[in-house]
Amino acid sequence: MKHSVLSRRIVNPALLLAPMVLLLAGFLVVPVLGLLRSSFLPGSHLLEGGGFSLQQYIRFFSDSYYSSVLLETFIDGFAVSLICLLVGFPVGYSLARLPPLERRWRTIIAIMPLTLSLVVIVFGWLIVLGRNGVVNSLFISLGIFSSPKQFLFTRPAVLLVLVQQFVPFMILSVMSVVTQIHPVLEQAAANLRANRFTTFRRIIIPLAVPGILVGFNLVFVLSISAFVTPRLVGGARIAMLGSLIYERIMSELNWPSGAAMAFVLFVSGFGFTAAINALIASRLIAGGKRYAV
Amino acid sequence: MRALSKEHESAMHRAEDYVVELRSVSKQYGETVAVANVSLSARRGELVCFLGPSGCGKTTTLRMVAGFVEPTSGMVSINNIDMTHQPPYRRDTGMVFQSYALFPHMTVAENIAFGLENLKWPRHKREQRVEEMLRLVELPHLAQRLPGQLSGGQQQRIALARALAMRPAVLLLDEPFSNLDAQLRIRMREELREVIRSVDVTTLFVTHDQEEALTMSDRIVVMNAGQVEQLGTPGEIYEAPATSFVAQFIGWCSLLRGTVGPDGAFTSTAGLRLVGNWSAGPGTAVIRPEQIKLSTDGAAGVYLQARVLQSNYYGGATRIVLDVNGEQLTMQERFPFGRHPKPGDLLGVTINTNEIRILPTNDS
Amino acid sequence: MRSDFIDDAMAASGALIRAIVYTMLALPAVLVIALSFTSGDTMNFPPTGFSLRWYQKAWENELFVTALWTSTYVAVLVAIIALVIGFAGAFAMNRCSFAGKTFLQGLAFSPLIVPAVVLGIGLLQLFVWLGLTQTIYPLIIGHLVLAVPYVVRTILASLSLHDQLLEQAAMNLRAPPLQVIRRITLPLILPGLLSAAIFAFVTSFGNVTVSMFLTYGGNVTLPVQIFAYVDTSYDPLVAAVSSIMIIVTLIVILTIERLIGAERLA
Repeated sequence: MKHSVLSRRIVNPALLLAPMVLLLAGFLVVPVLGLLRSSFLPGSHLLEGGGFSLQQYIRFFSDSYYSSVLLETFIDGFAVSLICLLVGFPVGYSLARLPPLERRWRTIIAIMPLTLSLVVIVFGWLIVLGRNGVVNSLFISLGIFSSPKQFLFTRPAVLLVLVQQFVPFMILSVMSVVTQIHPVLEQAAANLRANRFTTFRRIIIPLAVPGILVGFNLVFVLSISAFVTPRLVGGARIAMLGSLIYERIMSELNWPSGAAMAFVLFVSGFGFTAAINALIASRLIAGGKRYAV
Repeated sequence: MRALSKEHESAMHRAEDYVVELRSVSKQYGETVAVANVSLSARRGELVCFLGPSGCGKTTTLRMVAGFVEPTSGMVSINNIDMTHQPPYRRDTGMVFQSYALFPHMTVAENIAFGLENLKWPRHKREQRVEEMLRLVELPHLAQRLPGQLSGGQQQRIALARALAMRPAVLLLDEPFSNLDAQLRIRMREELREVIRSVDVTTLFVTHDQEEALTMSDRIVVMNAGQVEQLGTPGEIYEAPATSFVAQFIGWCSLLRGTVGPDGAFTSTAGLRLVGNWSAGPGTAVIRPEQIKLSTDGAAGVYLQARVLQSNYYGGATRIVLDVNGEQLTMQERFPFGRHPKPGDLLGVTINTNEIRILPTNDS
Repeated sequence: MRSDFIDDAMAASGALIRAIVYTMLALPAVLVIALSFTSGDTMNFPPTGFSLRWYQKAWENELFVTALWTSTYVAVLVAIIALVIGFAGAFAMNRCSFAGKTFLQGLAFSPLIVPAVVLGIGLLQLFVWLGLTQTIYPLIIGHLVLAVPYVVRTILASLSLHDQLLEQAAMNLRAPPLQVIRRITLPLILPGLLSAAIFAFVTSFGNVTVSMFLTYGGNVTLPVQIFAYVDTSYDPLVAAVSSIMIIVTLIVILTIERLIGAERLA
């Protein structure tokens, strides 16, 4: 059966798909291509005139400030993804293995940051980390600090808030993949005298790789393009590429330059995740060959 | 009627009497042939069973009758109207699905009434019919339950009531007993046969269970790898298998390869000789367990010395695998308690050669 | 002995990490709500006294109230339109096979991998060209692009869980296709449809990263308004407004959880 009996009898699938395709083509593909075009404009101001030049890209890559921000953004993104993996895996794994009743509230807490507006989360962290915030007042009343310390406007604070925002993606991807790993495999491993660590390393991790990859890529792409968090938590001192682009376009109105930076971000982020996927996929294939013998 | 010979039947019944007809129906999925050239005509009230191992194309054939699968070639007609390219909802069939497919969001009564609504029956007639059907399957007290609250056997009966409520020309049953436990299965089988007989509906029935097929059907279509191996009454299928596949699939049997000499006697490749009057040429002998008896002389057939290879107790009887002149034969016998033969024992057996069939060797 | 130690160490570190993660996830929301009831004028912690004065102030603040209505209006529209578009698309993808299906699925989920800042400025530029920046369309369309992948994914999941045999049974019972959809398919995937719509609602309601580029003077959404407020000054007024957003979101999550179960929220 090419089509299911039902749909074969209703309408042309093209008709059903048309609204979605038109929406995404017109308002996702076209804007991105339009931005690509703008990034090849010369000059430094509003979208005027035409022409084609690599000026924006040349300036970006020849200025060591930009390349250091790009590098820093990638390092931050990688760090956030790695931390999310390390702390999100145990949570996702336990959620997958918990009985439904115990799982309920934990899942709701885990999902909350995804549905809650980003500004509210960031605002909450301002209360936690602020000069008169929770951490400072707690530590001062315990006598650990003598005066309030500066947590906001530091890189660790930005990373912490990014981790909190994005760790749910990791938790959920791990949870969905672990749910599909039958617990009997773990029992079989235990029966074959594997301790928990060996079971984890040899059975769970290899089988969970697809979920880990999905989570890692998602967190990475979201982190490197973050700009609200760096701006509010990091302030002017902590530059990430996302906030730089926002500044360039919304304050300086320098469209060509902002567009070029956005494209550098988009393409390099995409390239980085593609490279990680290819690397891990080739490892998996090699591993598969080993299993096949 | 059912005992009449085939030639006699076709003379008596003209084509109009067939409720369902399949003419050289085939289904291909790309390169794979799921069903090849199946033809069948079923009369009013007849119960025809498609029997075969899983993946043999029997369910696909049934689904082509229902209209869920469109044949690649051939014709399906119901009540002499070509239905080959009609959608399922224009076909006069009622189907009981393997998983029953009761609508979980509708009550039992709503499920049964659903088809009648689509046939635009007026409300009071629908209600009457639903009640009638619930009485037929003996579950009138469950009308307001949801399917999830019913046992497997109850769900099966409701699915049957739902399919029959529309008074379809053809009832289609797709492995209707496979989700029931062994005891319930036998009871439901008898009940179903009773209900079908009482409403006199033409029924096509898919199963992989030979016992189900033998006890329920008027005729059986034995299928293998998309092909029809044999079409006949249960008696014909069992007593006169057309191919070695049919012989092996229906009941137990031993197959011996060999040749029939000019004298009409069969000699197996290992050298076992059976005297008889078969037509000469290479062939395969089909020997059923009941054709081998314990004996001390060859009064009713060929007397042979046999050594016991395996002996398995089945409660009533013991099934024994024998080595006879280098060939393996299976027999079944009831032994007194504590006297079951053990591997290595020697037994005298008689093979009743009159009932043995030799199939010409051209199939596998 | 050695393996016992490893087992214990893993169990203990796992429990510790889980405790930290759950605390970290819940902390901001809990503190925002706690602080919104302060009677003091500052964001200092612990809050001084209990009062509802900041809620009253928020209610009297025209900027926030207007923004709340704008957000709600846009989110409701987005939820309805995304549901229609997404259902049609998901149905076709689930039930039909056609050339380029994988590509289309990729396209349907691609808004998830395009950085918000890229989408935001791309759309802004497009709407500048179209001369539509002073309208509400950019917001609605931008949010639709963001919401459609979630809607498609949720509906695809409930369609694939839904047993197509039931539809075949309905057709066998003489129901024509539209009747099958109305009586069988839609009622059975209703929970999935509702949660898809709610997902679209929260995606739109809480979005700030794309909205920031697409709002203009008259049409500021609540998150953008909060951002603008926090960017310059902050006082417990924002805590009260944020608490309202937290409550709305929590109600939404609990509703979806009731409808389709928490584990399928993702």
